[in-house]
Amino acid sequence: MARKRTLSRRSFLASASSIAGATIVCPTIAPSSALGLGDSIAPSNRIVLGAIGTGSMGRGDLGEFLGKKEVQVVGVCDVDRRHRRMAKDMADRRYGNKDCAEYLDFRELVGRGDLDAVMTAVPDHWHALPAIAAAENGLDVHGQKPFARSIREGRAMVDAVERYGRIWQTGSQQRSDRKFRRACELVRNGRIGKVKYCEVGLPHGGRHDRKPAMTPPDDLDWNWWLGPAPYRPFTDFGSGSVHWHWRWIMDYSGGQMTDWAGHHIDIAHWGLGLERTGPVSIEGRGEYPDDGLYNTPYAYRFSCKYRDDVEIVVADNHRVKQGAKWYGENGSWIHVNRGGLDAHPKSVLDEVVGPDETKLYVSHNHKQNFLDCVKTREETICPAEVGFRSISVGLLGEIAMLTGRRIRWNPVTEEILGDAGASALLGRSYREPWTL
Amino acid sequence: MQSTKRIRTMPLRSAVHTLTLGLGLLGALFEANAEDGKIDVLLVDGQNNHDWRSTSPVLVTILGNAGIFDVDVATTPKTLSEFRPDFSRYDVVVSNYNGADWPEQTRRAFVDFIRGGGGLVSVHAADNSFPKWREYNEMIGVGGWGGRNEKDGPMVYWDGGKLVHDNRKGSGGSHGRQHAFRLVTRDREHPITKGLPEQWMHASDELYSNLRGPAKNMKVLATAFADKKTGGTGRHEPILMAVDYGKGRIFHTTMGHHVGAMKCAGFAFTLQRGTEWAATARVTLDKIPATFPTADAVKLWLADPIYGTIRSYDFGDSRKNLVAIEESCRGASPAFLAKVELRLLAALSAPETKYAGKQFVVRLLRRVGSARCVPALEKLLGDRELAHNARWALEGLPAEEATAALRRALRSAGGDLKIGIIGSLASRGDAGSIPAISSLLGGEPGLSLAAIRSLGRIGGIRSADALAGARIHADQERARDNAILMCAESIAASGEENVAAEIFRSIAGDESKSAIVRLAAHRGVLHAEGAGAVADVIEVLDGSDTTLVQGARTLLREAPGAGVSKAIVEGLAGRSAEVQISLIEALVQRGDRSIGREVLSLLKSPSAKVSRSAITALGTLGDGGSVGALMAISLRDGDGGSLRDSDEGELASASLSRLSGDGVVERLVELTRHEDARYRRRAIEVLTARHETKVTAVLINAAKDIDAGVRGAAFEALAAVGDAEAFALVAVLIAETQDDEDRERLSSAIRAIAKRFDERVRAPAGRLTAQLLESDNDPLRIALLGVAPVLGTDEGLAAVRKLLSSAGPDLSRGAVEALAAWRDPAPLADLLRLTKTSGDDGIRSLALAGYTRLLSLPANRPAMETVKFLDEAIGIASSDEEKRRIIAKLGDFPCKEGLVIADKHARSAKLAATANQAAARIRGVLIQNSLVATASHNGGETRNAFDKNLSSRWSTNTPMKPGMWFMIDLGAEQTVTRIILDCRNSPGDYPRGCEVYVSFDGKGWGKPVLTSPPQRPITRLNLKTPARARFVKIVQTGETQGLFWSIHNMRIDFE
Repeated sequence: MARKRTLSRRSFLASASSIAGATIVCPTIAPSSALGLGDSIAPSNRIVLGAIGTGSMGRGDLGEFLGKKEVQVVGVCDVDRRHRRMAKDMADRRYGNKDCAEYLDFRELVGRGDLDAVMTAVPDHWHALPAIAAAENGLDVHGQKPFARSIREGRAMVDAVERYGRIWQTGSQQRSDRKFRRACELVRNGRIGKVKYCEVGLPHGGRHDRKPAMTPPDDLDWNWWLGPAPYRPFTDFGSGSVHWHWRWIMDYSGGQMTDWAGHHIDIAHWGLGLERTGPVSIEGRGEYPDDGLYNTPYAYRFSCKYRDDVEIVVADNHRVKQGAKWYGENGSWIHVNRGGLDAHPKSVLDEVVGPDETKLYVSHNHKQNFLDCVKTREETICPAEVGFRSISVGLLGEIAMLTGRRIRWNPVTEEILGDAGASALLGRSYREPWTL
Repeated sequence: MQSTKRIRTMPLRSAVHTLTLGLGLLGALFEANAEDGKIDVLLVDGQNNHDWRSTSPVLVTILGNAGIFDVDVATTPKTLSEFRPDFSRYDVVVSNYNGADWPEQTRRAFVDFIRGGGGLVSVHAADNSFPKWREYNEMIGVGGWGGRNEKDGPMVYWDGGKLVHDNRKGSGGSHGRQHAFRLVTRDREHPITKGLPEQWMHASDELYSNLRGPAKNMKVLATAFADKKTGGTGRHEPILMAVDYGKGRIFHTTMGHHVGAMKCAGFAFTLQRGTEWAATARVTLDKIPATFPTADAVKLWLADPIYGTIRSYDFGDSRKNLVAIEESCRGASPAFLAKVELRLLAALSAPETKYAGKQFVVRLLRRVGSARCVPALEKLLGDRELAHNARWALEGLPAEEATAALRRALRSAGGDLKIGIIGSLASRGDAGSIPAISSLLGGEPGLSLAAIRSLGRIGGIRSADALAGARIHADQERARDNAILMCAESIAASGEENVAAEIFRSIAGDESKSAIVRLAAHRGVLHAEGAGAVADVIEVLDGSDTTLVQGARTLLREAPGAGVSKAIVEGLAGRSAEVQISLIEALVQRGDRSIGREVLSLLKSPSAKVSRSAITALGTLGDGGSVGALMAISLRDGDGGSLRDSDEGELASASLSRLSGDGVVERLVELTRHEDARYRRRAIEVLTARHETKVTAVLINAAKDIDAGVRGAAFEALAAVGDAEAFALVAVLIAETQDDEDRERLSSAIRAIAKRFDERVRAPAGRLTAQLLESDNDPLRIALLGVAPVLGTDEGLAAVRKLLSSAGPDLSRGAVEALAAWRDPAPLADLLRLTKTSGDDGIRSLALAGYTRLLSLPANRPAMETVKFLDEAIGIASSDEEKRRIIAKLGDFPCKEGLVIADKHARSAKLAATANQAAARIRGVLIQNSLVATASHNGGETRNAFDKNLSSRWSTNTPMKPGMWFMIDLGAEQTVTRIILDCRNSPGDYPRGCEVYVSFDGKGWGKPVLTSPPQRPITRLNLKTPARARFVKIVQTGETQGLFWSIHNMRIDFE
C-alpha cells in the first residue's frame, strides 16, 4: 500500500515555528497538483483528512469534504472493499492522482502521523473505538450521529476527546440550519414564557419479518464488520448485504429512535438549555416486531423528566408531530422540523431577539464550521459533550422501554439509581479481541 | 411460497437455512434419520379453527423434551392440491389439523401409511376434521362436529363402570365452559397410561363430549366427568383413546384447546407416551415425571412451553416465541424475573440448545440475571465460541460472584479470551484484579495492550503505579501514557487532587513525551489544581511546539474559575510580548471583567504589540475606569505622533465604542466638559459611535462650544442620534446661530433627525415646522423648507404653499424645491400648475422635474394614467434633455398605452434612442406576462415559472431524466438574448445540463442554439448570437437519482 507522506497543517506549523528566526527555507510540501485541479491552499491552512466508513452516508460526507478546498483527503477505511474502492476513486478523481490510500484497519489510518482529522460514518456499534483511537492520536473528529451505541462508551469518547483537547463535531447538521437556531433562540429568550413541556417526534417504523439469507459477499470482511458486537453468522439484513438495514437490529443500532435522537432531541435540548445535562427519570413503552430478524422498536413513546419539572416526551411521529415542539404559557407553542418553523400565536415568529438576550452559536454550514474550528481551536456547534447528552436520552429511553421500568438517572454521576438490571444495559460487553 | 417449514434441529455450522422449500425438495431434505435411533415424527398443521400457529411449536417442544423424537412440521400450502408429504419417511404423524380435505392421492397415501403400520396422534380439534372421510373416522374412533350424527356411529361414554355405545339420534360433539377437570384413568395397564395416578387434574380446557363415530377397535384409556354445572352432559366422557387400524395405531387425545391447556404436565406426558406408542406399539418413557398432576392439583411442566423454543432455536428461525419471552419480562415483578432466570438457565444447560439459543439466553440474563446464573455462565468463559456471550451477561451483574468468576477465568482462559475477560473486569472497575492484569504488562503484545487499556479504565493509584513501573513494548508507550492519564483523572475525581496533579505534572514535564500527551497532562494539572497550575501552563506558551502552544492557549481560555483569570493576570509579569498577548487574548475570551484594572496597566508596555493587544482587550474587559486612559491614547493620533500612536489611537477609539462596563457613559459625559477641546470633541465622537441616545442636552451644549471642531462633532452626533427633543432644540440653534457654516450643518442635522421619525413623531414635528415656517427668521425658514418635505404633513404643505408667492425669491424657490422633494405625491397639482404658469425657466424646470419624480412615487394609480401624465410632462418640457429624462420613465410603467406613447416619441430623431429603449423594456415585460408555456411534465403549472414568486414553482415532480422539456410561446417573434432559470428555493433541482432550441412554428427545431452544463442554483443561458424566434424550448439532458427538475422563476431577455 503506497503511503505518500503529505505535510499536514500541524507538522507544517511545527516546522515553521521551530525554524522561526533562522533562515526561512521552503519546506518540502506536496506539489500543489496533489491538491488538484487548480486549487492551491497554503499548507498551514490545509487540513489533512482520513475517512473511516465509506458507505452511503460516509461517501456523502466525504463528497462534502472533498468539495472544501482546504481539505486534503489522503486515506479511506472501510471493511467493505467495494465501498472503500468507491471512496478512493472519489478522492483520486478530485485530486487527479492515484494517491488516496486504502485501509481495512482504522488503527493504521489514524496512526499514519500526517493526519489532522478524521470523519467517521460507521454503523453505531463501531462509533466508539475509531473515535477514541483518533483522539488519542491527536486527531480532530467529525463523527456521524448517533454519538454512541451505549452510554458507557459515549462517555469514554467524550473523555478521550476532551483529554486531548480535540475538536469534535457531531453530524447533527440541523444545528447549522437557520430555522432550528431561530426556534431555539425564541424558546431560550422566553418568547412563549416558561417552557415546562416539550414534545419530540421522531420517525416511526423500521422493518418487519425479514427472512434472512446467509451467503457472505466477497467484498465484505464480516468479522471486521461485527467488530465488538456479538457474533452471528453472516446474514443478509435486507439490502442484499448488511448495509443500511443493520439499523433495525439492536446489536448495531437502536432503530429510528436512536438514529434520530441525535437530531430532534438535540434541538429540544438546545432550546431548553439542557444540552450539557440529562433527565432524572425516564419511562415509556416501545412496540417491537413480534418476529423476524429485526428487533428495534418501531413505535415508541417515553417521557423524560428533568430538574425543575421540565418534561420532554419523545415519541414516534404517529403519536406526536415530527420535530421539536415546545409548549409555553397560555397555550403558546413553537414547533420546528425540517419542513419549517411554526408557532402559536403566529406573532411569536416576528419577535426580534435583542442585543442583550441569549444568542445561540451561529453556523451556516455544518462541515465548514468543523473545518473552521479545526483551525481556530474553538468549540464546534455540536461538541462531544453535547452530542453525547443528546444520544444519552435516546439510550436511556431504550433501556426504560426494554426493561419496562421507570429509570431514575443521575445526570451528574451518570448512574441509574436502584436498578441493577437496567444499569447493566448502560454498557455493552465487547467481543474479544476488542476492549473499550 | 412457504409450504413447509422444517423445524428439525440442525447443527449450526452445517445448517442449510432454507426456509422456503418447494414440495419437490421435501423428499430430499426430509431424510428420515434412522441411524440416530430417534422416532421420526411429522407434525401436520396449516388449517384449524384453533390457533395452530401458537400450539404447534408447543407440541414440537413437548415432543422435543422427551428426547426420543425428531420432529418435522408439514404445513399445508395455500393450494391444498400441492400437499403431498411423504408419510412413508416417518414413524408417526401428529395431527394438529382441522380443515379442508387433503387431495385424494394424499388421503390414499395416508391410509396406506397407517394400514401399513404407521402411527397417528389426533390432538383436540383434529377429531373435528374430515367428517366424510370414512377411513379417517375409523382411525380416530370417535369425532365431533362437521355434521356428524347418528349415521356416523354411536356416542361413546362411560356409565355405570363401563363403556356405553349409545345409538340415539343427535349431533356429535359438544363442550361446556372451559375449566380445569379431573381425569380418571380407566386403563392403568395400557402402555400409555400405565402407572398413572387413578385420578389427576388437568389444566383449564374444553371437555369434549357427545363424540360419536365407528368406535371400532378403540380403548378408552381415561375419561373425565362433564359436570352439568359447567355446561356438560352429566356423564363421563372419553378423553384419551387408543385405536388399532390395520397394522397401525392411533392415539387420540381430546385435550389441548390452547397453549394454556398444553402446559399441563399430564397432557404433555400422555402426548409423549401416546406418540411413542403410536409409532412403535410400545412405550419406553416409563418414568412418570415428578411434576405429574395429582388428584387435587393441576401441575404444569417446569419450563413454560415457549421456553422450549430456545432449545431448538437457530439463526434464521422464527423468533416469535423468543420475542414473547422478552415481552413477558418487560415491567415484570422481581419474583417473575427470578422464575424466568431459572427457565433460561435450564435452556442454557440443555444439551440440544444451540449457539443461537444460548446467545438469546445470555442476552436476556443480562437484563434479568442474578448471582444464581453465575456458575452456568462461568462454565462458558473458557469456550471459544461462547465466552463473549457469557461475558455479555456477567459484565453487568452487580453480584460479587460475577467478579470472582471473571477473576478465576482470567487465570485459566487463553489468548483472545483473556483479552475479553480483562475488558470485562475493567468495565466492572475491579480493582481487585489489578495485580493479575498488571502481570500481563510487557508480555504477549495483544494481551499487554489490553492490560494497559484496562488498567486505565480501572484507574486509581494502584493501576497508575503498576503502569508506571512496568517494562512494556516501545510501541505501547502512547497507550501507557493514555492509561496513566486516565488513572490520574480518576484519582482527581476521587478527591485526591494533589496526587493526581503530581502524576500529571510528571508527564507534562517529560519532554520525551509527545506534545499531545503533555498537553493532556497540562490540562489534568489545571483541572486538578485550578489557579495553582496556571503558571506551568503559561510556561508552555514560551515553548516552540505549535500543538502545545495552541493547546495551552485553549486550556487557559477554557479552564473554569475566576481564580484562573487572576492567576493569568499574575502570570503576565516578565513574560515575552508574544506570551503576554496570548494571555491577554485568553483573558478576553474568558470575559472576566474583574481583571480589567490589571489589563489597564499593560497599556504602558514597552512592546507595541502588547499595548495594542491590551487596548483592544479593554474594549471587552474595561469599564468607566478605562475611559480616561483609552481617551488619552485615542488622542495621541492627533498629536502628529508616530505611526504606532496613530494605530493605537484607532484601536482605542474602537475599544471606547465597545466598552460596556459600569460608568462608561457618565465618564464620557464628564469628558465633554474637559478643559482640552480635543477631549471634548473625542468624547462627543465616542458617544456618537456608541449610539448613545440619552445625551441630547450634552450634545446641544456641545453644539454651542467655542471650539468649531467640538461643535462640528456635536452636529454630527445630533444628526446621528438626535431625537424629537433634539429636533426642537436644533431648530432653536438654527434660529440663533450667526455662523453660516454652522447653520448649514445644523440644517442637514435637523433633516437627518426628521428622516428617522416614524408616523407618530412626524405629525407634531410637522406642526412645529409649519408654525416656524411662518416665523420671521428667514434662515430658519429656509432650513425648515428642507425639513417639511421629509415630514410631509398637511400643515407643512399648507405652510410651504404660502411661501410660493408671498415671500422673497430665496424663500419661494426653496418652497418649489420643497414641493419637488415631497415625500408623497400630494403636491402634484401644485407642480403641474407651476410648470405651466411660472415665468421663471429655472422654476419651471424644477417643477417639471419634481412633477415627474412625484409621478413615480407609489400612489396606487393605474400605469395607463401615469403614462398619460408623463406624456403631458413631455409636452411641457422645453429641452430635449428634459424630454428624454421623462421618456425614460415610461419604461417603469409597462402598459400598452405607454408603448404607444414611446413609439410616438420614437419618431423624433433626437428622442428615438431613449424612446426605443423604453419601448423595448415595456415590450419585454408585457411579453413575459403573456407567455404561454407547455412542458413535458405538469404542463398545467408552467405559470408558476413566470409569476415572479420564488416560493411557487413548476416542477417535473419526478426525478430528472434526459429529454424532459419546457417550451415557451412568445406570442410574436422576438429576438431572445438570454434565459435565466432560477430554482434557489429547491436548490438541488437545477437542470443537470440543458439545451436551448428555437423555432418559428413550434414544430421544426433544428440544432440547439445553446448547450449548457449544470449550473446551480441559477442556470444562466446566454445566447452568443441573439436568436429570433416565436418558440423557445429548453430540454433537460442530465439525470439524478431522486431530484426533480424545477423552475421557480424564469426570465427571458430580449434585444
